Amino acid sequence: MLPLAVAPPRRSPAPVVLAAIRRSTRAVLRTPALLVAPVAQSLFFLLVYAGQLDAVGGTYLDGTSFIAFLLPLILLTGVATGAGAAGTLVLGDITSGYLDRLRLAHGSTTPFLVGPVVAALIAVVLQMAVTVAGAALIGYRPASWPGVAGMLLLMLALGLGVALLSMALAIRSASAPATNLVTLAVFGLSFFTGVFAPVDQLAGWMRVIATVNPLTYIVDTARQLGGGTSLTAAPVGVAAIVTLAVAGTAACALALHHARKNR
Amino acid sequence: MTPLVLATALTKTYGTHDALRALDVTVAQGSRFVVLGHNGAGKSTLLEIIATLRTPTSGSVRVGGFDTVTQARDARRLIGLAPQSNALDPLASPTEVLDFQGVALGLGRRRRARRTRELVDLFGLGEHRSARVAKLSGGTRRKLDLAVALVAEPAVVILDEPTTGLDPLARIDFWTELTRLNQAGTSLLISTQDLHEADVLATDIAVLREGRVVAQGPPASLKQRVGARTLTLDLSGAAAAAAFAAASEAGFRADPDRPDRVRLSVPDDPRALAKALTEAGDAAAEITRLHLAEPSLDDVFVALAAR
Repeated sequence: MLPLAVAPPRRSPAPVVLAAIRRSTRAVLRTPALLVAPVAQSLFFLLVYAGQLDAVGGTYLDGTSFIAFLLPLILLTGVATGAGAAGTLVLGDITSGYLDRLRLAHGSTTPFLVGPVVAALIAVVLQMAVTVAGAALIGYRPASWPGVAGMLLLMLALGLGVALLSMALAIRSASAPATNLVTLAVFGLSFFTGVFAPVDQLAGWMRVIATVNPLTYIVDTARQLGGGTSLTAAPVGVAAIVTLAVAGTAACALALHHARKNR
Repeated sequence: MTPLVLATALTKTYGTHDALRALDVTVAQGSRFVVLGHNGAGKSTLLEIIATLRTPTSGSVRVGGFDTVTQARDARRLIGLAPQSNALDPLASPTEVLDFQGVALGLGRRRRARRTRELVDLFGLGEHRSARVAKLSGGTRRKLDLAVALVAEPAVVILDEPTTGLDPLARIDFWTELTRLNQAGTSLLISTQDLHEADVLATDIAVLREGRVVAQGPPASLKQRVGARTLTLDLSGAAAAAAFAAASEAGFRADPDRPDRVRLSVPDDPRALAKALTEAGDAAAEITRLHLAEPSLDDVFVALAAR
């Protein structure tokens, strides 16, 4: 064997995963577009919708506050935007060649993909906290704070699915428009739920679409958690989130397999 | 010298396009090996396969004796990579980038801190240590790129078109760093289209054309392959030049474009050169200018790569 300088053998992946999470979180915090834009969007919708429809909504919501009814949907749109940061971060590393360089150094890509997902979820938690605080400032009073915590956890789980899918698209396509498709799809679909009124009060085709839209059940589960009422929408809502997360994981695995095969 | 990188019958096919065709390359330990070729000649593909980033369609590459496919993990430990673009985290500072590379390599905290300090000092990055990479100049970013490739103290550093986009001073500065690094024992494997860069840096060159090595060897031997040295004499007038050419036993010929000039292709034989210089010495009073030109890498490139 040649007398070569040899780097030490690798240790446990844990320090690499933790460092990758720190690095990606730092990147999110240093990129206003990834952190501030979703918060601004959520607060904008909250203020505009609540300001214009609060009084009207009170007339058909059977005592439920309009802000409490609206908040889960606002959180969902924020999650759709914020969790997509995972794909954006990974895309930057792919197109610059930095991910290849890290893979060469470590031997595996996985830790450097965990980092952006966790960082995106940390950003989502911060966004949701600011949005709930903003809602509280304009009159939101939840039935129970543990219920609000459950609502936020539900949205975080949705964020995991969005983050994984956007990352899978980034790996597979290496293109920004494709990476943003997941955010666009979830954002768009969120408006085909009971946005301003319960689904059973919607009319015609919109009611049909909202009934088959899985996001409807996620939003309704979040409303039921926040309102402390019976969780009738939870089975479908949770199943939809689990399906999204499993699909996201599978899509990432397939995208990585495709990338390996085409090296 | 001992081969550090050995590529044998290496082929890489993308769909129906053969990027590399049964290519053989040997990189000696301690060398500065430059891969020359035009766009699409297969330079980057070759480097990426050696760096274990791509797998060959057939053939093999061994780095330090390790196969880059079946023993990729061991091979990677010998390689530092500076890709074509600045593959860095634009939102991090140089020290953060170097430290993170150390983490990826599995270095402990103390060794990372020491190595980061050493590399910051080595490349004069001290005043930029806390600035974001995106704010650094092209030359400083390229130095950081090289520093990142060196975190593991690799046996060979692979640089893909390392000075593309740098201004002339930054290029010269970067070449100095590379030479210093090589003198300290690190082998360099560099791809470039810049013939001057190859001339300055290379101890060995491989010329690629359409995925094949069309010539390999030290720059001097490649230059000799494509042409001889040319001795040019400018004389005091056309008549003197014609008389000189007519009387020349060494073989000086009049230049058809310049009536006052004679030329001689000097073979690689000291006696032939001595004879030519003796004739020139006899006519010294008539000579206004004497120029001995070596064939350049431009000649090599035109003759071999761009054929």
